Amino acid sequence: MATRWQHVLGTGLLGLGLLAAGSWVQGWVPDDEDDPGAAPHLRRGAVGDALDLRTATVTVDEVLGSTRVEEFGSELVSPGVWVVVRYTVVASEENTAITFAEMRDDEGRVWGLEGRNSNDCVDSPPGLAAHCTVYVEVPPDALPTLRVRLARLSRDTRFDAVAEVDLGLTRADAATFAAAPTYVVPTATLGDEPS
Amino acid sequence: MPPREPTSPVATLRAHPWLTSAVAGVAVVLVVVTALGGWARSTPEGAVSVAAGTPVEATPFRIRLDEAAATFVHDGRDAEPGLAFVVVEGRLELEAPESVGFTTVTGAITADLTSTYDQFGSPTEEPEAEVTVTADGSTLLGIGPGLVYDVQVTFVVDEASVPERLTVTLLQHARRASALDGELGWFDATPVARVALDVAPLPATRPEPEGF
Amino acid sequence: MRWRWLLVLPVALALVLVASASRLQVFWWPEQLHDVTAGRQGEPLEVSDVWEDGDGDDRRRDLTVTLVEVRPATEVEGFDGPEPLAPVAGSAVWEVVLRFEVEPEVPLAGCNVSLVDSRGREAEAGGATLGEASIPGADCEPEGRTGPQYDGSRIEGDRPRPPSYDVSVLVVTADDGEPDRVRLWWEAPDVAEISLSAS
Repeated sequence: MATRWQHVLGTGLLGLGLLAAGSWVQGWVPDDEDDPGAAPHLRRGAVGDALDLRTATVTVDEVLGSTRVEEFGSELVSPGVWVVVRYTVVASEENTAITFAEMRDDEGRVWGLEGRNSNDCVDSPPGLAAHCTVYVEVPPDALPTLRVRLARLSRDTRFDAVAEVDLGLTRADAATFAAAPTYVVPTATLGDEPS
Repeated sequence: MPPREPTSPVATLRAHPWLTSAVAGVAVVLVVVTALGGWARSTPEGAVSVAAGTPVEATPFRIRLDEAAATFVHDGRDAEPGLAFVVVEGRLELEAPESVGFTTVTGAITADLTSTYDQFGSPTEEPEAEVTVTADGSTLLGIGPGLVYDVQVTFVVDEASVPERLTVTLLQHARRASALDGELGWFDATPVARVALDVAPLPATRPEPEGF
Repeated sequence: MRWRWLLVLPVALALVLVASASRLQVFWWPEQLHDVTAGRQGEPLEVSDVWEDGDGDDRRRDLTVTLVEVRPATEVEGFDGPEPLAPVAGSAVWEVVLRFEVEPEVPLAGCNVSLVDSRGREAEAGGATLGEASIPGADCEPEGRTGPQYDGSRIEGDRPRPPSYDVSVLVVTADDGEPDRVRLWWEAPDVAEISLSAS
């Protein structure tokens, strides 16, 4: 027969054990950053693929790069390399523009529109193409696995359709971009022909 | 009376069950806490003094400040009458995997200057740093990972209160969810290093502003 | 007997869904244009529109609008007067002519006009650059003659608005659509929808 103090000791040890197990499990529980239910719906493709984002169709037309870009008359020099993505938006039902843009690599690094990076897009009336440009500075070692994500609403991409395009760049492109002249960023235009 | 038998240790333990359990419990707690490293400091040490040119880990940045100078002209802009610029040259890099914005960048750097102004000439309580890229003068309103920038950190002060020696405080942020909307961000800036710099003095005369 | 409680479960689930949908009703529904006043081209349409003033009170404005015509636009206001519109591949620019009959003191600033085509696609009139031309946004008041703003102030230098006038609103659309109706609104949920007569 266990005496009373043995009961207490046993309970105490069990309690400690449960606390320890609970703390260990806590590390495995998703934290606030994970909201898998609200994750955006990624539509993956390559350069040239028309990706259906429900409210618009987005196609990445061209990927260029340089260490210098120029917009509004001033030149921006990057310690890494500027990756310039030209893309087309065609809205389906209402005037729509792409305002969310992000570049990611396989190391988990994300370059957003903070800093000197910029997305230049205008509203596309349904059926009429808008030609837009996004430029982001990244380190040259990110180029081989670099992808761009584009979506309609910059402040909230939860549950939304987001285009993810593999930019198809290689290590050799880093050298090409480093040697390229200053890229003058075109303003966004409407119409079948890009400027 | 027969001699009492010597009491064995076990019997002693049995005789004082509550005391024994308490001691055993405390011993277990001590062992477990030590094993899990619970004795480490929970609050970081205060800011350390570093020499100019030393890279500092000010989470999420790595910042190195090299030298400071006072000037009337910065990036083609003339200081307002009565004001001057204090420009610190250095290097800035983001160590976190995701881009950070303007408030985090400016929240990482402050200085011990008095009578400071913002970029537009309005007086400010706290010195406001403007971080620009040395190569082209553009303002760094945010920074992405993997890029190392040569920067100039500029403060606007009264011409009369330009110091000879400047102490720049570098602050580190903690990554946590915002109390307002639950979004993850960099908050709770705390000083982590102080860099003392000699400030090269102002030129003797203020140059004439460029003609219109 | 205990299994009967299971019957409560679907009811409870339904209640949960309805209760959590309150966000839709409070935040989303009032922003949708669902209070439609319908009309036909050429017929004066009486529109009674509710707007919220600076103090948060609801005010009502009454106006009569007639859709005169929707025709391809040929010119746009440039720096030095009207300039011909150069066509841009894939696009069409429509001129929506509206006739307003409304008291001069009724505020009409900040109107929205859109053109809905036969496929249900809605192109909104907003400022845009098309080729070399700068297409202005929707303005339901004639140039230089405006009524009061919503805070009671007036635009300096503008004369009072006439009680009856025509305005043209330019809308940029794709070139493969047939305009079917015109929508006119200020604040959600009130909207006037005028169908074009078959040409």
